[in-house]
Amino acid sequence: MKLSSSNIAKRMRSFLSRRWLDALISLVVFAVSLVVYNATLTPSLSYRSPDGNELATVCYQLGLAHMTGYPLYTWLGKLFTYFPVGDIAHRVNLMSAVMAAGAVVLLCLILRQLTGRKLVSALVALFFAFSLTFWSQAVIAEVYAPNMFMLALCVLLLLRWARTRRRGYLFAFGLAYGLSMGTHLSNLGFAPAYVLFILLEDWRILKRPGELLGTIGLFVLGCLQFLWLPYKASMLVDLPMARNAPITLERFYTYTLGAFPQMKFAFPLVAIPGRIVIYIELLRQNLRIPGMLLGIIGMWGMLFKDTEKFYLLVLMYLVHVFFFIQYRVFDLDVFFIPAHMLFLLFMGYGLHCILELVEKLTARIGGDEATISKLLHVGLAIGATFILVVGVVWQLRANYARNDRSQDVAINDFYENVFELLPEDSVLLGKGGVFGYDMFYYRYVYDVRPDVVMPMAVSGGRLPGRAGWEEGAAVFSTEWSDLNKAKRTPWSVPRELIDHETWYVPRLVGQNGIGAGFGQRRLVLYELQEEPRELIVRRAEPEHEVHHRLGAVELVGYDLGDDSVAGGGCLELTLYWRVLRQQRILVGAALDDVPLEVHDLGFGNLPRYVAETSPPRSGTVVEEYSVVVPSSLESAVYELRVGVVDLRRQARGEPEFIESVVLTGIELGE
Amino acid sequence: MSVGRKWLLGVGIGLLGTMLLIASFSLGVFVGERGLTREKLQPVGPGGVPAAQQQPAQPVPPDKPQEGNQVPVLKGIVRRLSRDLITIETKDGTKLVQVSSDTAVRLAENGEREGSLDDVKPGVGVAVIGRMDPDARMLRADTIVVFPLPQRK
Repeated sequence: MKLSSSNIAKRMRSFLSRRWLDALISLVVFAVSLVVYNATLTPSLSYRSPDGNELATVCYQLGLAHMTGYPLYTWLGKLFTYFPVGDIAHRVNLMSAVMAAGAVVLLCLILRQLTGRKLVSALVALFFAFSLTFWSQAVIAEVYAPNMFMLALCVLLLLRWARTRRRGYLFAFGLAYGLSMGTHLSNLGFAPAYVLFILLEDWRILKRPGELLGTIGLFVLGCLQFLWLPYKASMLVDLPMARNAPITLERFYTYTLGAFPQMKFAFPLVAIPGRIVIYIELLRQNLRIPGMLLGIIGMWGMLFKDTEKFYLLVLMYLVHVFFFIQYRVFDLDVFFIPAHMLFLLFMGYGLHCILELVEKLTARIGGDEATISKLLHVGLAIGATFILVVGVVWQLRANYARNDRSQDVAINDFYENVFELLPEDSVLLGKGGVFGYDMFYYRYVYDVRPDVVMPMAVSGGRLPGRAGWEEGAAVFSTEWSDLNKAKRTPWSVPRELIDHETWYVPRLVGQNGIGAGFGQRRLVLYELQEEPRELIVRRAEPEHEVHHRLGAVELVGYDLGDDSVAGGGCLELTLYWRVLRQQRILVGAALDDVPLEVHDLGFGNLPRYVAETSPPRSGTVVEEYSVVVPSSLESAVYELRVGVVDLRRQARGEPEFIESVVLTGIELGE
Repeated sequence: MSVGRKWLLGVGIGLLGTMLLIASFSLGVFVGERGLTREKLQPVGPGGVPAAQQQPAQPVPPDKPQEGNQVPVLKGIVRRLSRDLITIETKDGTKLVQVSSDTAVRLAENGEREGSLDDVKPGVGVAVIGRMDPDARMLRADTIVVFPLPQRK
């Protein structure tokens, strides 16, 4: 067929306009997602994920992360550490945001290919972008957002291959799939679905060994990243990990495919219905009930219209859900993100099926009247767009507060003060292994206070010891090394390093995990001393008398070092309490409504102090400590509030004073 | 429609039907057992890991006591008693245990029988079953088994 020059120009213009529109939509989706993620991004370290601080540090060091190693994640993270914004942890957090926004764009493109609808695809992808769990992982250093990028890339490449049959897409898929093992090894479970889809689409590929072997070869090439594991095994800090350091084939298996055996298939058959209901609830939280119904419709529609794609997606989905409903972890929600994404594809397809049906109906109603038909069509498009925009905004509003980590500066503020407070050549103890990276980060990344000995920061499977520890050095700890705990964890301070009769005297208290309430890991610096401070005195003489009853205690009075402080600085506080009723008492401090800290009265020392020193029965409990004021607070005058915290709400991570009293105004400056 | 396609559709319909059936069955079992409640449905959602539940993303050491095990977590000799606290000397050092009126006491001498907190005296051997109170950083005793100590000659 001959094409005239005007026809070619017309086709070119049409092609360009379509490409430009696609690119523009992708750009807008990326920008909107990234702007929101960046606005809610964790500024630095955080306790939102148990592994996040380790991952941030390992990326910088180019070291080896906990099982299953995550080589690709580590390399990508290293690239982001060169990005000149914030500190190293912030940059690795930013990687999650960028990769998550990228995953949303890929999701949009997948939906576009499945439904052929540009705007609907973009809005459905944004609906997922602001879903509860996926968003939560886009603002912290974790593997899940980069993994979603890799997963979406694999699916998109495979669908592109199915549409075009260009083997370049298949080869690219093979490589991407191999590489995706380095963001989460559970991606291996998708292999049966991928293989079945390829065979359903083109079983004759079996007769083309070059294409087949090329794809498999590139997959293996991607998997070769795991050679990183033995190469970097000596950098492992975590003791259980180091004991399984992947330096032999057996240990290599334990570190990768054989990792976490106690978590896999951990539930008896009778518990499975309950686990399924937990999954359904998590799905509801993320995609809402209308989304779930649309997903079921989409599955049905896809089965009849795009059978091969149905099998690809439904098998991926089922394998993933089957595996993870039987996985025993406390942060189960994040493991279902791929399943939520796959369900979202069905949801988008379900919407497409409904729109198609309504379009047919409107065309029938319009009959031969082209104008009416067009009007109905436009009305339908506007209506669908409106509903989807409302859905996206709904997600955004409903999940913003829970995923906003932008004020989470607790760890940084705390450790800045810790390193300022520690005397020269002192010893700093704390949690070890993966959980100790809130402290190790400052040593490994910034080499802060090299004079301070950190016995827990040892690598290569060595036990923490007294190397470099001078006789008579002041010893501090961020971890209460439990005297009563019969079985200690591998991450506890070894018994040999501490005297079991030692007293843990609180010196500095950091903000207790804002955003998640007080329920997170507590930030307390204790000084280890042979003798306790005088915790109960016969007669208290506070600088400021209060005499305010707060439930089971009376706040007799307080001393305050200075009533003006810079953000990130400390308030020196001494509280005088009289216990009116014997029960467990949690007390806390806040500036206006911003929680500063919460602790057991006496910082856990009270029962032992009473048992060993027989203090006066009607004495006053004296608590003397410094509390860190968050650097995220704006300069203003705040009310310093002290109160008693509700135990049950505290346990749920929703701290609330049962009763509180305003002590004084605090001027917060620059 | 080819036979292969019919098979694919048939299996697909079966798959979808089974999925819906399993989901409905699970919801039915759940509602039947607990009623229309969302309690205990959220292991831990975005927003926080309760400190008490913070578990390592690591292999559990084989000697770590598993949930629900009724094994004594502390054994030793009672050295001191004061109100609701017992000081126990163990091979790992001195430990404090919190007791309350809910703490059960069993006497393991000549068979096992019920006892009271009065039987927990300085010098007797005890095995304590209980749970850690992470905030009080102390073992809270659910059950104390009092046993005779071997006589030294």
